[in-house]
Amino acid sequence: MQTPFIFAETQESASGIGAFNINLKGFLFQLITFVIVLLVLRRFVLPRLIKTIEDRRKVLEDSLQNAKKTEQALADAEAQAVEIIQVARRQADQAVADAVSQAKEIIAQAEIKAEEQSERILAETKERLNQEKLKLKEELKDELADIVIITAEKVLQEKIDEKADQELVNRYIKEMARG
Amino acid sequence: MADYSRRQLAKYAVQQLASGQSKLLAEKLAASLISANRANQADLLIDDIKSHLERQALAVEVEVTSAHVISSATLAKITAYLKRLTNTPQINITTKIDKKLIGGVKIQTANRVWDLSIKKKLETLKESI
Repeated sequence: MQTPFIFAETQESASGIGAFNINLKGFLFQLITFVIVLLVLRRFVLPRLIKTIEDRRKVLEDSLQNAKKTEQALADAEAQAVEIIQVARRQADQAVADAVSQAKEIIAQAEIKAEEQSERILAETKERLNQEKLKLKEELKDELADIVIITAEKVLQEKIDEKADQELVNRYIKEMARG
Repeated sequence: MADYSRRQLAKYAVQQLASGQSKLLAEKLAASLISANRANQADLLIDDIKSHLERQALAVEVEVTSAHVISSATLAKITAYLKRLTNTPQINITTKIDKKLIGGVKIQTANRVWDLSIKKKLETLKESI
């Protein structure tokens, strides 16, 4: 039944569409083919394509989200690291300050002890010297007494003769008898 | 023979002497010492007897030491003083010369000593210095 198509073809060749040299038949055929192809594409290809695109979009989106998460985690880790470093630095500073303070205290105590010890030694030395002095004094006194007595004995032995001794004895006996 | 102490023997000897029974006393005392194997304590026993005699005011043995010879008048004064002091009728004096005393006199009995020598005075002076 090619009449409509021939009719149309005949009509067009004369004016309007015929002026464009369009083959209606072919056009319709192509149109139908196009529609079929479109339908086929739509039915079979497009979903898959869309699915693939969608999958890829999802993957990209996931990757992007992961990247964002990773970036965030990195930022958090960096912040944490900074904080840890700051805490460690503060602790280290505190430890150093404590150590310095302790060292100063130990030095101060050692100085005090050394001073006390030197004072004690000085006092002991003074005391010992004092005692040595007293001992020497006593020894000198004893020696002096010995010298005085020995001298007195010698002198008296020469001075006291029998007569003097007799008088002495009589005086002693008188004193003894008086009580 | 029983073992008597020196003090007991001295007391016995004094009792015998006081009662006038001094016969064989020395032999008895010697025998007692020898039997007790204490012959070397004879001098100590004599000192104990002297001490006891003095305490009992029966007799006093006196040793007078001086640097020079003491006159009999001085000895008589010493005797009179001791008789008065000890209330003892019998005073037996022995004299001794010791130049180390320098001067003065030292009177010694069994229980007492009076050191009136110059040596003693010098020793006292030395101690006080």
